[in-house]
Amino acid sequence: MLIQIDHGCDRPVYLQIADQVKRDVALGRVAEGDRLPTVRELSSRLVINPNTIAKAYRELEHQGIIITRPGSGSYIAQGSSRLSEAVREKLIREQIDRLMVEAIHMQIDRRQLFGWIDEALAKFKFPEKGAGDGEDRG
Amino acid sequence: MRKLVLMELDRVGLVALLLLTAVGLLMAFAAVTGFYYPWHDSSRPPVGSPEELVVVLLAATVVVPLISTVLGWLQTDYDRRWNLTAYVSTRATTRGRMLAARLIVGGLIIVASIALMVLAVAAMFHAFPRLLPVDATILVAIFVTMLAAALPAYAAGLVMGWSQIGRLRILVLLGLLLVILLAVLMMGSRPRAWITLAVLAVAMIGWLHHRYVHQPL
Amino acid sequence: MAKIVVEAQGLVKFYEGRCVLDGIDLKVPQGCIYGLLGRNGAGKTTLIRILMGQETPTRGQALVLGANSQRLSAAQRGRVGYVAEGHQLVPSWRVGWLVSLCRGLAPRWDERFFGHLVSTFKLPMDRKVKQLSTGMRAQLNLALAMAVEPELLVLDDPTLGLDTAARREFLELAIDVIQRDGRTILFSSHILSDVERIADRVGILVGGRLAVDCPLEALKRRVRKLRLVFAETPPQRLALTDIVRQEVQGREMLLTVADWDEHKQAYLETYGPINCSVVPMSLEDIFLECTSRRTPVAV
Repeated sequence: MLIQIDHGCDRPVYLQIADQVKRDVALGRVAEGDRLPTVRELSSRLVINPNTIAKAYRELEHQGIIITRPGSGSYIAQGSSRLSEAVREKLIREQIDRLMVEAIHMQIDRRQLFGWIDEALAKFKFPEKGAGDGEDRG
Repeated sequence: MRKLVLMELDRVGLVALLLLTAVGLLMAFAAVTGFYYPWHDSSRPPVGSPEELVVVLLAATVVVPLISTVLGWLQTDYDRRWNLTAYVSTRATTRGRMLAARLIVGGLIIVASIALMVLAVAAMFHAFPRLLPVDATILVAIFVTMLAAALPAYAAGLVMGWSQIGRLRILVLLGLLLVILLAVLMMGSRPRAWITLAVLAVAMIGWLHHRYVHQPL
Repeated sequence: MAKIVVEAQGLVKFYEGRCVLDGIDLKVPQGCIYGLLGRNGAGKTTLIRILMGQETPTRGQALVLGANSQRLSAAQRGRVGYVAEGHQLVPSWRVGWLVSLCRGLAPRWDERFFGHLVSTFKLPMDRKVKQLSTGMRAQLNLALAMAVEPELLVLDDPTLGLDTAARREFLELAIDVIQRDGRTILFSSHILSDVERIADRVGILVGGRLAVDCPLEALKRRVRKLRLVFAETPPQRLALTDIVRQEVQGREMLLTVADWDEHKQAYLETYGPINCSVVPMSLEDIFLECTSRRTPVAV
């Protein structure tokens, strides 16, 4: 698992780590049940305070992305996040709005945008139906 | 603590050598005197005379303190110049201990040198009882004065080195010290002189202790 | 409640008539990695020297491992590893002699670890300290501080003079020390990316006071810079607290605010800006904003 930290970025380091683990899961680079490196291993490898790594892991566990088994380690969890549907919708819609604003400023038209979204859906192997939602995407 | 003492010894090695050389010279004088003593013919005067010995000892009473001053000065000047205390005091020790180690080493060297001289003279007395029809108490008084003068002189050296005063000022102070020593000697080898000298030594070391322990380095 | 390993209580220091420290209150709990930041001459070294008992404060007191910093015993000093600024050590001594003195004085000494560091850094034992480069002196200084198995490590600009690779080695060392439970580190640095890697908590010294003293990731969350575009001239004064910096150019306003939350967001929107976007700030940016302002705002 390759993790790169951008120190010039405004995003806190622990969130950057969490983001990248989530990205790796979404891109299929790590599978469910895979074991994550221990806090110590990762802290030595990235040369980052172990507390920061621990915080990232706690955040991931809170979001339901990973499961920590005491004495055994941390593993990628099965299934979806624990966040409620309304919250999930809000977070994704916020991202969509941001995307829209940028696209408008750059004068991208509807068709281009749809095309790119379709490609992204394919690249990330988006499921047709998510857990518990009845909405269709695309 | 032991390590600190060893450290100090290492530093002052050179001057210790100086002092002990002076002592060695005295012992050589004693040996030469003995060698030329006319064993068989007691009517002839010996080459080494009691007057000569007393003169040498009196000179030593001035020289030994002056060398003690140099010893003290070397110890603290080296320290200031190379930031010794500044660094070592951050390790697992206190400045009080460092000063104690320094004083122990300096004191031991001075006492050892004087003790060696005493041994040399005692050996001569033992070998040639008729050589020195000098009252033993006079000799004892001379040696005690030597020690009593060496201590404040040593303390003065420590203080001068720590205060980092310039070389010119050092020479002036050494001259002053010389004058004081001669004045004390003229006062005679008396308990009153010894107490004065001891008080001087204690005062200077007290001042040094305060500065040494509290000065930001 | 974690033990407080380093504490400063109302520390004030005047030096030659100038106020260097103007009331410093600081608490570093056990296990915390505290990064002290500040511009040159801000007083970081003075603060650290007072904490180590090398200087006396004009007012206030400092406690290290529970004891008054001005009266640390030899045993207490043995529990602290200190690397002073400049890596002077004792220039005229041979490295081997310095090492044997430190080894002899230390109540605890990890010879294996020290030997490992000596070979990693390739420190020569037979040369005099003054013959070593600054980088090697820094490494020697660090090795001597870490070999005593300290409960507390106090490092004043430890990477000064180290090249990039050596700095990375130092960071790896620091992580190693952090992973040994219960160790506390207080260090000052100019290199913000290093601080960001290893610090839990950050303090920024500005104008003799701790303008900032909070957990590192809280800092990024709470200090926010916004670019606001207004239809006409931007308002002169905003009724907003904790403004660190405010810059106006034409219809655009750059606003840096500490202690950011939704209330402030809502408040800003009442001024009716056309556009409001967040300007990302790295730790370096935050540091620069906090230290360039004349009257600092506490975060």
